[in-house]
Amino acid sequence: MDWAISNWMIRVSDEATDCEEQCLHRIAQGDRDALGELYERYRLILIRYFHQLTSDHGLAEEMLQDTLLAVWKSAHNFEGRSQPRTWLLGVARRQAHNTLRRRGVPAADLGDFEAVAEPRPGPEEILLAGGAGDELMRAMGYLTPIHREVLHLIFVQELSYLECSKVLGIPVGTVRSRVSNARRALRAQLRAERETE
Amino acid sequence: MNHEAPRRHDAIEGLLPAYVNHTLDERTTKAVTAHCASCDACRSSLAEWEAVAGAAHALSREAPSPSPWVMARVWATIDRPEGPPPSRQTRRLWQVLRGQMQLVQSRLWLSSALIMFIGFVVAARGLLGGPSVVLQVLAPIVAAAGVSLVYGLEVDPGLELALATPTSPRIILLARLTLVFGYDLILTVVTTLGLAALGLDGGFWSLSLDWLGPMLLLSSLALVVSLRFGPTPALAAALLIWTLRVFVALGDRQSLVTGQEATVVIHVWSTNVVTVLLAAILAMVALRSVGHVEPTT
Ligand SMILES: [Zn+2]
Repeated sequence: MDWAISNWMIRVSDEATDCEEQCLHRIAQGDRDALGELYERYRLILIRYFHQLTSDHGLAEEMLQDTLLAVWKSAHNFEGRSQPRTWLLGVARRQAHNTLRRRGVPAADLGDFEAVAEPRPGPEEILLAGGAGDELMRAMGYLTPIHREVLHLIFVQELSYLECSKVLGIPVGTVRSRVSNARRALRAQLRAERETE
Repeated sequence: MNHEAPRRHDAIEGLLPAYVNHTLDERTTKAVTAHCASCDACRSSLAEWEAVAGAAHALSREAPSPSPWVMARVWATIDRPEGPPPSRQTRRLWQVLRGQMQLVQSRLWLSSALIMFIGFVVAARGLLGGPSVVLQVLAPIVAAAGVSLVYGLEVDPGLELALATPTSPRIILLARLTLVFGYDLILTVVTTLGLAALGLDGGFWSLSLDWLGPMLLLSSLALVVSLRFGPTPALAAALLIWTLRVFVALGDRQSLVTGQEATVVIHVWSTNVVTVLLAAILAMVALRSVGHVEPTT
């Protein structure tokens, strides 16, 4: 029974992938409807990703537009070696960073900050799983974009470490450490919030 | 418990985020499930990751939807012409026109103007049948002669130079036609206005109708012949056709040539829907042929 369900799920996700691959091939041939379809499929996924990098909705929409333009121009570069979604998120990330750079957002908010923001190890007994969902969400809002981004890609976009490394352009090991650093930063943020209360 | 347990614990704990987002393969997933059943530390770590995942989901749902016009803006950007913006295209067109103006030999400008001026003087004095006849005879052949000479290396060494630039032969032809035919048209209109002002022979519109149709038809004929056989045959053909036409018309006027043939010839060479349509078709044929047929040398 378990096997049957997971098999079914794999088939469904394969169908979605095939559909998205076809969509990208049609876009590469200049099919406007295909770009429209892709937009309908991805508009929420992408805007939610961009909101992890900026709190400015206008800027997030600019990133979205730039990404669609880039997809229109470079869909022929998609070779099917990665999942369409991984490829698309990679394009989205590059465009987002271009947009931020163009808008003069300080690089410190974006750059590789594993060295910058290694959170000091705190008491591990402060559990994030305390039931306070709102509190945790608010704390996540105060994380640096890089930490918020990696948590978003892993838990919301449900990318594997390998896919995530392709999107971010960093080694798998760095993804792994970035994820655990993000959790540590979250703990630290929660601790700080509880101390000020 | 065996000595491998701590190592196994570390490995499993590192897998927990991937366990939470369902990206582990089936075998590893089962191994993690089994380990967590017997390891308190991993169970609480797993609970933490699940809380983080829940918060990440909740946070991402906070993002507002994109505005409805996002896609329209994307299309607007995509459809914005890639080449030079309109103002630069206009400037380029102007450059082509100006270049062609210098290339078209100045004799052409001068002789057309001179002929029309002589025609004006003659018509104003009421000689040779007055304004209507003089305009009917002169305007078509002047325009047709100009159009004959518009294209082809025989008359214009500058064309080779112009064609070496990345401008299509069709654009060059259009530019020259616009210049030469437009020039002759303006010349004739000015002459007609002048004659109409003298009030010798009908108003501006009735005078214009006398020459407009024949001028369009003879010019487009000359253009087709010029592109196919070269400027000299075109000029010769235009002169021949027009001499015959004038002879028939004068004959008709002086009752030398009468009968149905004369009526047909005169009707074909006047301003009416058929003449104008025929001229348009011939001009289009000529323009289409450019690019297929090399200019004759
Ligand atoms: Zn364990």
